[in-house]
Amino acid sequence: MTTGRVIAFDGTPVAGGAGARAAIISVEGDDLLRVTDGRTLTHERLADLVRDGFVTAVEGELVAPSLDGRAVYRSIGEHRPGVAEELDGVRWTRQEDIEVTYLRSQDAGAVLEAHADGRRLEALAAHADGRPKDAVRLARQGLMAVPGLRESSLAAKLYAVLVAEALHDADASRQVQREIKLMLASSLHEIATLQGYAIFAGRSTHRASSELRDVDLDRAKSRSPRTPATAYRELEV
Amino acid sequence: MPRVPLVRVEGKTYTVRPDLSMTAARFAQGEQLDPEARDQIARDTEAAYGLGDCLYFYAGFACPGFGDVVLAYDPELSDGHPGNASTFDTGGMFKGYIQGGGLASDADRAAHTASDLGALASWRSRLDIWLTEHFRDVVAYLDHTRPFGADPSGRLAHPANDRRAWTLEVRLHAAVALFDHLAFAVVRQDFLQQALAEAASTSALLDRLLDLIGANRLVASDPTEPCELATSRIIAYASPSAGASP
Repeated sequence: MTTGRVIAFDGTPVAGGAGARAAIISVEGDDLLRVTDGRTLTHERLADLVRDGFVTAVEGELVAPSLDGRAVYRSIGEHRPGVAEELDGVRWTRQEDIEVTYLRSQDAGAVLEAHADGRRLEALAAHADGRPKDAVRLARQGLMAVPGLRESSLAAKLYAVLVAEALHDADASRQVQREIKLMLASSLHEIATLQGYAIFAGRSTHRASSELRDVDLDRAKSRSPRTPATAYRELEV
Repeated sequence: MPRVPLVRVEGKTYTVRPDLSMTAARFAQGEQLDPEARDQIARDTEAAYGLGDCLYFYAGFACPGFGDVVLAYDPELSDGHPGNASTFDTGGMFKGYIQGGGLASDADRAAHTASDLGALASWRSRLDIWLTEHFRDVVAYLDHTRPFGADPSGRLAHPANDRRAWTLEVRLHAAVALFDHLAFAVVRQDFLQQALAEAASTSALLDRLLDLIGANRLVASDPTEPCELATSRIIAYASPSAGASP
């Protein structure tokens, strides 16, 4: 199998966001650079594209074990230690305000799901702490990353945070409901709405918040890395 | 005559006027597309070939080299505006990326660009002739098929060239409203969510984005690349019998 080094990825990161992008790979001995969507580039063209902001250069060593993967970036946010979004075997290269890794396409989804779920827990914590703007911002950041948004129960849970924070305002509430109906499969509308009501009513936020604090402390630090979803499920037992 | 959309790919930071880059915030606000939003290569090309200050579109091509915010407009977008058009990417010609036996020197490339230059008002009829002369049908033009036939520059047959060597570049000498004549936009999921967040504080802006989403005219492409999804939608737009509804 041909291997190489990831030297850039397509596009520019969205502030606070995360996503999977086509990677630009240098293979030793090849004059042309390979793009994982099938294109090729010359080094000269890549330099132009980087200079003009069309692609993002990757700093540091990032190995591409195959040429059919995806570059995944995530913004470096205000992660709580207990909701670190780490999966076994995933190594991140850090640069400025993002981290980058290279994964098989099927693994990229799992990493983005973990990132989005981490944002959900942060959003719940922000809601519980009385920081509605932070809660909305964090929920949106989760929605930027969640794979298969339309059919995703995680997306419904993220929209639930938006529902909860909009309930004080009739117009905002109407628009969130409209967005949910446009963005999510019909089977998820009710889940998003009811969970939003529950968050608003404080039936779940206090629990989520206190659990997060538990995760932050000894229990999280004493265990091997796991996804936030796994950590959350452990606490729900 | 097939209705081929005018396609502009945005989303990256312009080095000359970074304030005009198509951020999610500018998209949410519906900021107009401005000819000032172009990089130095385009400015140098315009100066060398006498093209004027241009707002650039391709006829039917979402070029991934330019970004990940794909804006596809009804062809009527150009009506009533001054401008011009070429049957290739003029920046690529200026930089020497487009190759051909008759394009060896700067003077050759300038002469070919001058001989090819057409008026904006006739770009649709010109495309129709271009399709007849060099492509099986409009779908072949839109789906990366190489053209048949030859031209004096040798660019159509040169093996090193890609689509930018034979796609119509349509240039307006005017700013246009972002959402007027917008057939559809394809963006990444992170961009769309950021745009919705930016619009959230202004009811009219958020409703406008939600209207576009509801009409299937603003879509997130993930996990597909925006230009790849846009290509299938462009084909469906230009040739409804060839693809799903745009």
